[in-house]
Amino acid sequence: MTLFRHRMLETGKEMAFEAARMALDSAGLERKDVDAVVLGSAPDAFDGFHMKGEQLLDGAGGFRKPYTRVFVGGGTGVFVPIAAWWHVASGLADIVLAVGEEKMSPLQPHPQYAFWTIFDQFLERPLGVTLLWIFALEMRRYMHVYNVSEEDIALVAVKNKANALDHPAAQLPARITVEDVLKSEPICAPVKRLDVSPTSDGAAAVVLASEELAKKLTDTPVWITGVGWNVDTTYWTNRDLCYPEYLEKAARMAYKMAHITNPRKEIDFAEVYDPFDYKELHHMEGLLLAGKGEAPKLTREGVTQRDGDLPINPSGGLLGVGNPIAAAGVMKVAEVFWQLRGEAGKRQVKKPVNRGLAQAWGDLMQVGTVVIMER
Amino acid sequence: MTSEFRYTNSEEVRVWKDHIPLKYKYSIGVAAQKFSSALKEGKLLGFKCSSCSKVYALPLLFCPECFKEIREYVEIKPEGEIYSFTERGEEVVIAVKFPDTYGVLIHKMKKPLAGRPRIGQKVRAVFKKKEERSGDITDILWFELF
Amino acid sequence: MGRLDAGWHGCNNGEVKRLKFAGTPISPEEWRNESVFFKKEEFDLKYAWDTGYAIAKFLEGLKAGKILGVKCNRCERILVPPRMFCEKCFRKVDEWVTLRDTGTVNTFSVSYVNNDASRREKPLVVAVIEIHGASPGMGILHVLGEVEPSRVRVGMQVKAVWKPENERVGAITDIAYFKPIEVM
Repeated sequence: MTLFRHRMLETGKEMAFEAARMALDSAGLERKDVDAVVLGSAPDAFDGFHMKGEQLLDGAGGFRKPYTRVFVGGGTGVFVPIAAWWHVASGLADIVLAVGEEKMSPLQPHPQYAFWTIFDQFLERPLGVTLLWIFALEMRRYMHVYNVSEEDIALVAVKNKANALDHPAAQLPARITVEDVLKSEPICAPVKRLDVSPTSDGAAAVVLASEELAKKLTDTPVWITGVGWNVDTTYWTNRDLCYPEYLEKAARMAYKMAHITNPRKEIDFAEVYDPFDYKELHHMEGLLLAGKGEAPKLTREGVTQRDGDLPINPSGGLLGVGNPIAAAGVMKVAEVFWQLRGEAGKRQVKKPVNRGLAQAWGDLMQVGTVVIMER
Repeated sequence: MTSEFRYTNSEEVRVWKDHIPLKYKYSIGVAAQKFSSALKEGKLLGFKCSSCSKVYALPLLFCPECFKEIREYVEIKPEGEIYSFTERGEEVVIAVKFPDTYGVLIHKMKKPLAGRPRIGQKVRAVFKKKEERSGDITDILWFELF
Repeated sequence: MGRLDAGWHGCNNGEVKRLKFAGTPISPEEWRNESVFFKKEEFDLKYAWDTGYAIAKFLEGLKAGKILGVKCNRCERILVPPRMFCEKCFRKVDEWVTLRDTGTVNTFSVSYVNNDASRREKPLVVAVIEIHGASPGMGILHVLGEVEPSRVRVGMQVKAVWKPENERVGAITDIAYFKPIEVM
């Protein structure tokens, strides 16, 4: 992966190249060994290039190869390895390069501006809607239904930003307190500045290989044993936002494939999508890693810390490492990979780990993408 | 069973008009930084892949084929030949190929006073005055026959 | 490939190669002073969207001061905003229904920013309002008015405040805002 930063000099193509090159180098492969390339990148509106997949192709190593771009909003980053997995699992390809890239900085005056164009043009845009509204509305609903306090939620921001201090590519690592979060500037109540992840530029990539080749290329391959994805209706105002149904469906799909019946016990640690701090709790419940409304309790008790029983976001998550949308999900997959191989250095979780999960979310509270990886 | 799904009578509500204004400030990239600096100096920079030795006449951080970082740069004499062209009123849009390089540069030339442009004709770049250059591709005003 | 330090990862046929994370951050000063090259562009994309069968009728209803919904006889849901087909049963809906112009606040937020992240002059209270007469949970997005942001509650009963008839054009903004029904 590249550094994640608010603005980088590199173009999208160049960032994709840096990440893809690093992935290939770490696997000891060359571009000619790659059978197919999958690239993920989120809304074209960020860099005003309305053919984004093709624009990034050369940087992703896709020159004259079977190449696909995938997009499911924020879910893209974990969807890229899923799509890459299809290529290998179907027998169509032996080695697939999966790249996630995002360059959010070009849009003026602020990347956030692109997001109002994902809302309904007749009934929602005329109200002056912004993406923050839907997060704030969801956060409020979650807090109301399960009686969760802002303090409980702030604990997640504190944890993840602290975890990010040990991630060399992180954008916003910091040691903050719950009080810092509660006192931070209200953006869209109940969302405050320190509840939110930044906008970023960055790219990340992973290499997938078929069973035989994986064993030849490395002594410690990490296997993808479960994939799941699900998308809910765009009529988001017709849904109760307190619980991500679509994520539960995606998770069950992945658990079934991986023969997991008790996720809380059988998943050792997870990289859970955290564009906002409350989202980590919301998604933990959707992933069935905690009962409905119980994720705050696990966080309060330290269960989700790196030395806890179920470490969540040992990388520092989006809150700490950064949120270049599609690249962030791939970053999470990379973190699960490094953790399972014992290569996460200071971020390594205390308990021995055999099975991890990476998850992303996207769009109008719609998409759940889940990947389960094992040693 | 079927509902009244015919278009309504009212013209006004059948179409919703709005606009999406988009404003961008792109960082041109690590490779293009070098290319643009050279343009400002009145020069054309080629990017050479040390693996396959191809010289590209456009800014590239990496060779798309070898997928290796490019770290060698050569100055390309801004004289090439017309690879292809299309006429648009008084303007001619041309694709210029420089000798021993890969890729063509899309630019413009003035309509020739006599005859039509031909593929293979030799053209050279006419740069703006030094103080007017900004690093943009328009630092080359146009190409002229010679 | 063996254990390596935090994030510094690389291997080439068994030989460990320390790679650094690539990327050249641009500082806020470089951005403002444009000491590196930038390219600026502006597009203004203009659209004329066909509203489609269902929204056209909904907007016409708003112009007439009514909130309309549709009913799917198979799942028996009454849906708002109306649509041509029930997305669950995947069949055309069966009839139009006039709903009430009151509702219950399902969730709300107080926004201090505009959609370009600039600060608003005055905070805006936005809410998902479950419209009475539609199936439970059928909400629409709108804004609240005539209420102190700190007094808004989930479950609050609200009523639409319509623009005067001569100002209504067939738009969601024909409802200026929803206000609380009970005495606050």
